[in-house]
Amino acid sequence: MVVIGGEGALVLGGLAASAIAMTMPSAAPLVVQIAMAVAAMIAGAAWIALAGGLRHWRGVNETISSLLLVYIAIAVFNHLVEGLLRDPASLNKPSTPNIGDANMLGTIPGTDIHWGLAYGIIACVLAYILIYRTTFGFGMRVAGGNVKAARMVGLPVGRLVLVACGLAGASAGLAGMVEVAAVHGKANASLIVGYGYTGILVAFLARHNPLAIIPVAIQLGGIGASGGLLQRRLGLPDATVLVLQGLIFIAILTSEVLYGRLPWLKRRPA
Amino acid sequence: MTSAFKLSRRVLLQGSAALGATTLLAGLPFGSAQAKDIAVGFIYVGPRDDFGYNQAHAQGAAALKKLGGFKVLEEENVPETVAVEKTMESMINLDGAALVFPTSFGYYNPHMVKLAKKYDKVRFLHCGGLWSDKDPANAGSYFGYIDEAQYLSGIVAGYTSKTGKLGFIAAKPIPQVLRNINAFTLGARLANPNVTTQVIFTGDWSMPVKEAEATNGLINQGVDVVTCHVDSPKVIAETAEKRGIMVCGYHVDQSKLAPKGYLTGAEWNWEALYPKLAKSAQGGEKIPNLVRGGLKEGVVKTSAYGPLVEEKARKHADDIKAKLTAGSYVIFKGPIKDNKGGTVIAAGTDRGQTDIELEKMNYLVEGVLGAIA
Repeated sequence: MVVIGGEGALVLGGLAASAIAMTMPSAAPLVVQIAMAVAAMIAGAAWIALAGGLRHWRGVNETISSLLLVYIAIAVFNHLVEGLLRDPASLNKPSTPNIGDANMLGTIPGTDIHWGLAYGIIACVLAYILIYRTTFGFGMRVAGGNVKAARMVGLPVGRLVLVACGLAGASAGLAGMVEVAAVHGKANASLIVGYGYTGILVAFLARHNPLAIIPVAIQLGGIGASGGLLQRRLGLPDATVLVLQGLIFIAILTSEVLYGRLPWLKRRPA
Repeated sequence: MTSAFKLSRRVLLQGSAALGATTLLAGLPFGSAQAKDIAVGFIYVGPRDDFGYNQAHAQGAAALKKLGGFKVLEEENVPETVAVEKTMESMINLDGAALVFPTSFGYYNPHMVKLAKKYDKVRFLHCGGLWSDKDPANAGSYFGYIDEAQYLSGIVAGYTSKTGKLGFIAAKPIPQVLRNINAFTLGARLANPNVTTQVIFTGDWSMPVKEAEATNGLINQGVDVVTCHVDSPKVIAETAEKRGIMVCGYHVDQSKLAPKGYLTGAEWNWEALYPKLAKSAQGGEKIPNLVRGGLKEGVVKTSAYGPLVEEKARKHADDIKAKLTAGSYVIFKGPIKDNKGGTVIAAGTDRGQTDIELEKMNYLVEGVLGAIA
């Protein structure tokens, strides 16, 4: 099973987070932050669970439906940010009201990196434990690999699909909440910059291993960050970053094909 | 599972050689400048050769480069996220930028404000006109009354259109954009009171496919002059030219894209403003916190008239242009009705360019076909 609609869950997560913050102007920052995280995770989970439900009950391919749901999510997001949830003061860039400086997540002491990094690492470790160290995770892997085999051994495939999609959506939704609570302080079109799509590349390069996501994500982030210096020092166009990412992608694909077929790429006996 | 690869000495040596080469490369003096030059950074939200918003800023940067005495740093395709904060910090810390121009509207808050507080010796000048006295003193914001140039485009379009149907392709129904649509329509109706402007909102700043579809849709409805307010008018100008209708440009001169049908256009004049602002920074003058201007101040300009513009249209447009340049003409002069029949500016009320009410514009004037929500 491959779901690639994280972008939709991310923007709706960010929207839900800022919407819930609007309703609690006088609560303690920690309460607001927890409420934002929970709201974002519910919104993201519900969105991707839709794709899971479509797949289980209607037989719709979840890869395609989750991708198409991104466009709907962005349309819903724009509709609400430019309408119902708009801060009347945000004239030329429609946004939700600011969540307030006190409710921001801030940066990790001694660095200028915001707490999103910690959220990401913890999420990766938890996902690893869930997928590789629990019975539930084993069931998920079987159902994801071969539905027929999973049914044959009596696994509750429908529930596994829905829960897996829900967890994936919750993670993306949480990423949206972090963007709002650590960077922007409000939800607006700046949330729609393709982080969900970058996530697809990271997951692929990490070969779907949650622990490998940590170094791969940092590496891809580093390449992205190098784009500025490549432009300024070497006069290269911005697309250089895409070329570098593409080279990594091709290297992985090629090595996959050639692995074991070339004399120096033979697996050595243990 | 055991490791499939073992690190041999040869591989290790090859690796170190590669590493050495990289270090050598990084040590080369790429783009070094003389010590006296002050470094000025420009940050664009899209590609700098987009025939639109970003190109207008890049032309301003190019004018500064030509002037000499400045080390110009540029970065394109920087999103309005934490990425722009990193870009500004990198320009300041690695390249010693003393003046930064983050040119996209969404760079201002929270990103630029945050950085301006952190680096209080660096000057930050933002395009969008948002500065208020609560913001840091080393920050500033500038913008142009480009609706004046749109008004002139409208006059030319009103005279030149044969069907009396104009088209306007706009990104979002926000005050800045509505003001352009309204000014364009008011200008057109000055030339021909029966003209209508059909507006289509695409929903975002850069949607080439939707923009092309909108242009084709408008042409199929009988529209024979289109203009726009999106980041890059390129596909609109090209589609209009291909279908044999006329087009008024926006942001920069697009006459090369539509040599036959290009009438005129509303352009930014950052080539004039940026050298001025950079020189004032170089001279250590006090930073201008809020700069605004139109034709009079030379912040905006119009494209040269295309071959299809008749003498009558040129004369009328030039006449109004002279008045706007002298500062003796008001575009939003009551009575003005919106397209639902209500009066939005009462008779006897003049809303001059600096009137703050115009910045909250939330209506389309009579003659515009379309709705905001």
